[in-house]
Amino acid sequence: MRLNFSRMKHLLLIFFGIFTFASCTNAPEEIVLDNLSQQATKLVVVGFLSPQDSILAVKVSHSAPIGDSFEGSIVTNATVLLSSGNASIRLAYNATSTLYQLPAQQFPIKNGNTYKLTVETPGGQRVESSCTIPEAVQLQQVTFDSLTGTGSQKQYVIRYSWQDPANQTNFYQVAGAFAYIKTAAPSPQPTSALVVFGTPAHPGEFVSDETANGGKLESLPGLLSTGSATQGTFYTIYRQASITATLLHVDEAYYRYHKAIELAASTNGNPFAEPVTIPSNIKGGLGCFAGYNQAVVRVRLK
Amino acid sequence: MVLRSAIVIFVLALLSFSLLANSSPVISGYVREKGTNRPLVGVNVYIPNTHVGTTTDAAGYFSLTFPAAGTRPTEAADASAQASLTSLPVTTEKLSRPELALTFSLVGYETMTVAAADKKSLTVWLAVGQSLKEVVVRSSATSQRLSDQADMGRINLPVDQLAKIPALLGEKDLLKVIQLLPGVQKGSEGSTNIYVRGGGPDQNLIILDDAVIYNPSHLFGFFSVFNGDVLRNVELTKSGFPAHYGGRLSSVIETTTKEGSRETLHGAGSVGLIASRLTLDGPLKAGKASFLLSGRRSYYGLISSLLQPKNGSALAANTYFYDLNGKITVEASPNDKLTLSGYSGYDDFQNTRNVKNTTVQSGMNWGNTAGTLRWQHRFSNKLSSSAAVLFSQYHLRVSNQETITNDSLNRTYQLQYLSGIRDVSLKYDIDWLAGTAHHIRIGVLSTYHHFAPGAAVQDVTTSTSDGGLANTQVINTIESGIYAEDQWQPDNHWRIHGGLRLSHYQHPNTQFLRPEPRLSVAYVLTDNWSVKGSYARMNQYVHILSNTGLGLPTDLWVPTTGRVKPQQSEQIAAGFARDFSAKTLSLTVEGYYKSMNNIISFREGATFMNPVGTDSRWEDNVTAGRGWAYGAEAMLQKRSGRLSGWVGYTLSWTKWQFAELNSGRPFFPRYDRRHNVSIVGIFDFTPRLRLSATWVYGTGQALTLPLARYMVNKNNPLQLVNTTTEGGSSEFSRNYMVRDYGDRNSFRAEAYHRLDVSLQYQRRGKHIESVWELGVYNAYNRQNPFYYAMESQKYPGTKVARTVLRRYSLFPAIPSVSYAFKF
Repeated sequence: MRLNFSRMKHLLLIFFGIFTFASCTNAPEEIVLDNLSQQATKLVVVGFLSPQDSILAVKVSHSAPIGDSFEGSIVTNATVLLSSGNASIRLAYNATSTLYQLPAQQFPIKNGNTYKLTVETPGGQRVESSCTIPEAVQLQQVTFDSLTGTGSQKQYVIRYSWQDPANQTNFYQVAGAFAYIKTAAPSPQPTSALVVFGTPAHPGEFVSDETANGGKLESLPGLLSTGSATQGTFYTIYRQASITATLLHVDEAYYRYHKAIELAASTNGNPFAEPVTIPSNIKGGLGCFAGYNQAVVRVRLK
Repeated sequence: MVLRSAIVIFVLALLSFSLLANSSPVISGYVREKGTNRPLVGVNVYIPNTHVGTTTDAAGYFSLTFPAAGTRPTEAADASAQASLTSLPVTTEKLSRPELALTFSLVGYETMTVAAADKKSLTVWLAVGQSLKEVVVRSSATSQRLSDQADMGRINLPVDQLAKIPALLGEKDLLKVIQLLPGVQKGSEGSTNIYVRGGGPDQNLIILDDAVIYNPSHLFGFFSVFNGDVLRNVELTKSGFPAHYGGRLSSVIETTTKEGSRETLHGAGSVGLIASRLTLDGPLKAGKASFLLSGRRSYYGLISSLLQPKNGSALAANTYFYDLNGKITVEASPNDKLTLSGYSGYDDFQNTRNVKNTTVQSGMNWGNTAGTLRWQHRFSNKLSSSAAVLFSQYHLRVSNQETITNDSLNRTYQLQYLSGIRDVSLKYDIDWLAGTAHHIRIGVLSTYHHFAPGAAVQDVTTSTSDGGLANTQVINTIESGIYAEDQWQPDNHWRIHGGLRLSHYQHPNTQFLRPEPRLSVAYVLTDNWSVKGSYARMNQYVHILSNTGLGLPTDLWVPTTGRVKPQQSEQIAAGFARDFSAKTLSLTVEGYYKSMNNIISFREGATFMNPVGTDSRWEDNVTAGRGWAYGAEAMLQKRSGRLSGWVGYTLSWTKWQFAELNSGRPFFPRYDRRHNVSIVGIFDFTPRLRLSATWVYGTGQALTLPLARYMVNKNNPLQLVNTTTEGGSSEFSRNYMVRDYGDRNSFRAEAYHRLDVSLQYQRRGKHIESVWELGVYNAYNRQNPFYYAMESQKYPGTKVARTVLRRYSLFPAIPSVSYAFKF
C-alpha cells in the first residue's frame, strides 16, 4: 500500500511502452466534443493567512476550459477585499509578484479570528470564502538520530514531537532547513538544504491527529543526509550544523487542499489513476483560502 | 428466523428426494472417442423422437431411465426432431425396436443411434467427423434444442471452435471469444476483462477444473491464461445459476481440461507472432492411465527488442510469460477414477533506466497456480460421487529501486510491494438420477482463504521505521457452501431446475450465514418454442479493488471483513427460445434485472499504493455502495452448414450509487455500454479453405474527464533565499497545474467498433494435420479510444497555448500469421 505513484507512473508508462510497436502509427488526435465545449471559466483564488507573515498575499487567476487559450491566467484587475468583524481592507495588485498584497501591519492577523475574503472582477464574477486562524502549537522536542540502512550506509534524520490539543481535530505541516559547512568540500562555506520528511513512498509533510487525538504527536523522520562509516561521524563531515524547525498548525481546508495537490502531482500524467478533485472552499470558484499558525525553533547540532 | 425456516425447507427438500423411488428400466454406460478411448463429456444422449434425454458427465458416463410404457410419447410426437435426425448421417446398429434405441450426438463427432433393447449398460465410441459443419456456439443441456431446457443464460462454447475465430496477433483467446457473446461486455481495448450483465470483473467465478483462477490475464490483460489446446469444455452461466455454483454475483466461467489419450501418443502445437505452444498427451498405462502436458511461452521481448531503438532499455528482452498445464488420469477400477491436474502461469517484466543522476530498476511479476486432486466414485448406475482437494494461488510482486546520486544526498529507495491470495478447498458432490424425472445434486465446498493484500514493503531510507509494518495485513478466512438441487422434468412441458445453497463465511471479527435460493423454470410450447424464467440470489465474500478499471495485475483481491460487507445480488430473468430445426437456426431472447448491494470502490483520489494516512490500510481506501443493472439480449445462431456463426445484440443499463462518490448521486460505472453488437461468421469455401470474420460494436465507456485546467500553489513555510539563509516568511510554491472534473463518469467515450478477419488453410497429411492462418485485427484501422488526456497545445510561433482533449488509441490494423499442427 505504500508505493508512491510518481514512481509507479514510470513503471506503468514503461509497461504501456511495450505496445509502442503497435501504436506507433497512431498519433494521438485532438478531438472536439460538442457536449464539452462552452464551459465557463471560473475564478481561482489561493491565499493563506498567518499571524507570523509580514505580507498578506492572495493570488487570483482563472481556469482554462477545453478549447480555451491558456495565456497567463492571472487576473490583474480584480477587487480583493479582506475583512474581519467590521474592519475591511483592500489588497492591491502587485505586477512584480503577480499577487494582491498588503503589508501585514496594516491589517494584523490574530489567533482565533475569522477572516472573510471577497474577490470581484470587472466582468461581474464574484467569489468569497472565509477562514479562522488556529492557535499556535509549540514544538516540544527535536531529536537528532541516525538510521542504519543497507550496507554501511547511515542516514542522519531529525524528528519533531509536540502535544496535540485535545477535543478538536488538528492538522499540521512540518518543515525544516538544515544549515551546515561541509568540511570535505574544496572551499568550505555555509550551505543550507530543506529537510524532506518521510519518503516519496510515504510523505510526511502533512500530519493529522486522526490516529492520536490529544496525545503526543511525532513527525516521520526528516532526512538530513546519508553518509558511510568510512567518511567518519556526522560531526567530522559537517561543521556548524543547525536546524530551523518549523511546525504549522493549519486548518482543515489547508490540510485537505495541500494533501490533494500532493496526490494530484504524484498521479499527474498517469491516465489510469482515479481522478483527484482538489477540494475548494471558495464559494463560486476554485482554490483555497486558509489560516495557519507557525512555531519556529532553531537547534544547533553538536 | 428466516434462516431457520430456510434450513427446515432445505432438510425437507432432501428428505423428499429420497421418496422418489422409481422402477422404470435404466440404461447406463460410457461414451468415448474412437481411436483415443478418451471419455467424451457433454454428449447428448436421447431416445429418438422424444424429449427424454441426458448428457454425459465429466467421465463420459450417462444414465437414462426409460419412461414407463404408458407415458412414452409416440413416434409422431415430434416431427421436427425427425427432420433434424434425417439431416445428420446416422449410423444404425440393429435398429429393430426404434423406441428402445438411443441417439448419441456431440459437436465435432458423427452422430450415432444404437439399439438399447435388453441392455443394461453399453459403451459407445463416437468417431471424429463433421468438423467443417459444426455448431459454433450451442447451448448445452439434456437436448440439442435450446427450447427444451430449463436453464437460461447458459452457453456452452465448443473449444475446437475457438481456433476458427480471428484473434489479436493470431493468439486465440477463450475470454475474448466469451466477450463476443450477448450479455458480456468488454472493458478497454484489448483487455480480457469480462463484465456480465452489469457486474464487475471480480464478479465472475472463473474456474479451471474446479480451482479458482484469480487473475486470468497475461501481459496486462491482453491475453488470458487459458491455453485452448488443453481445454475440453467451457461453459458460461449468466443467470439462473444452479445451486452448485456460489461465491460470485454475476457469472460462472467453468473450464475443464482434456484428458490424455489412453491409447496412443498425440500432440498439438502452434507457432505465432507472440507465443508458441506445444501439447503432448498419451497413455501411461494402456487403457488405464493417461497424461497430458502442455506449455506456452511468449517471446514478445525478443521480437520487440529487434524493433525498438537501442536506447539502453533492457526491458524488452526481459519480458515474457509462460503457462504450464498438466493432467494425469488413472482409472483405478471401472467405478473409480483419480485425476490430478495442475496449472501454473507467470508473467515477468524487468527494466533498468538511467535518467540524469538517477538509476531506476523496475520489475513486476505475477502468477497463478491452481491444482485439483479428484476422486470420482460410482456407487451404482444412478448414484455417483466426486471428492476433490483444490488449491489456488495468485501472487503479485512489484519492485522499484531508485538510486539518486547527489552531492550531499546519496539516496537509495527500494520498494517492494507483495500482494497475494492463497486458497485450499475441499469439495464433495453427490450426483443422483432419481427416476426419469429427477436429477439431484447435493454437495459441500469449504475454502480456506489466506489474503495478503500489500503484505510487505521495504524502503531502505526508513527501513527501521517501516520494518514493523510488514505482514500486518494478512487475513485468514473460511468460506463454505452447502447445496442441494434438482433438475425436475414432471411432464413433456415443464422443466424445473431448483435448489438452495447456504453460504457461510468466517472472519476473525465477523461471520455471515446466508441462504441463496435458485430457480429456473421453462415451459415448452409446441413448435419448438419455450418460455423461461429464473431467479437467483448470490453472495460474494471476496472482492477486487481496482483503480484503473483495466484489469491490471495490480488489482487487489481483498476479503470481507468487519468493515467491508459481502456483496449480494438478486437477479430475475425471463425470455424465450425458438428452434428453427430445418435451418439449424435458433433464437434466444432474454431480459434481466439485477440488483447488487455492498459493491466496493476506491475513494476519490485513492490508488492502491498511495497511503492516505500514515497508517493507511486498504480498508481506509474503500467505500461501499449499491448498483443495479437491467437490459435485454438477443442471439441468433446458425449452428451448421458452410456458413455458421451468430449475431448477438445487448441493450443494457448499469448504474451505481455510493454515498461517498459523486456527492451521493447515481452514476454510470466506467464499463456501462448502452448497445453492444457482435457478429461472428465462419464460411467454408472448400474443406481446406475457411474465411472467418467478427465485427463488434459497443457504445463508448462512461469516463470522468477534466473540463478545465487551472493553476494552484501550495504554501511554502520555509524557502532558501540563497544557499546560506532561509526566508522568514511563507511564500507561494511553484505553480501546479490541476484539473477541474465534472460529474463522475458523465462523459461518453466515442463508440468502439472493430472488424477482424482471418483466412485459414488446412492440410491433412497421413499423420499430421496443419493449419496456416493469415489474419488482420482491426481490419479497417478504426482509431478506438483507449484513453483521453487533457493537454496543452501551443499556437505555432507564439507562447500562447490552448487546452485540448486528445484521444489515444492502442491498436491500429495489425496483421498476423500463425501455424498450428496436430498429430
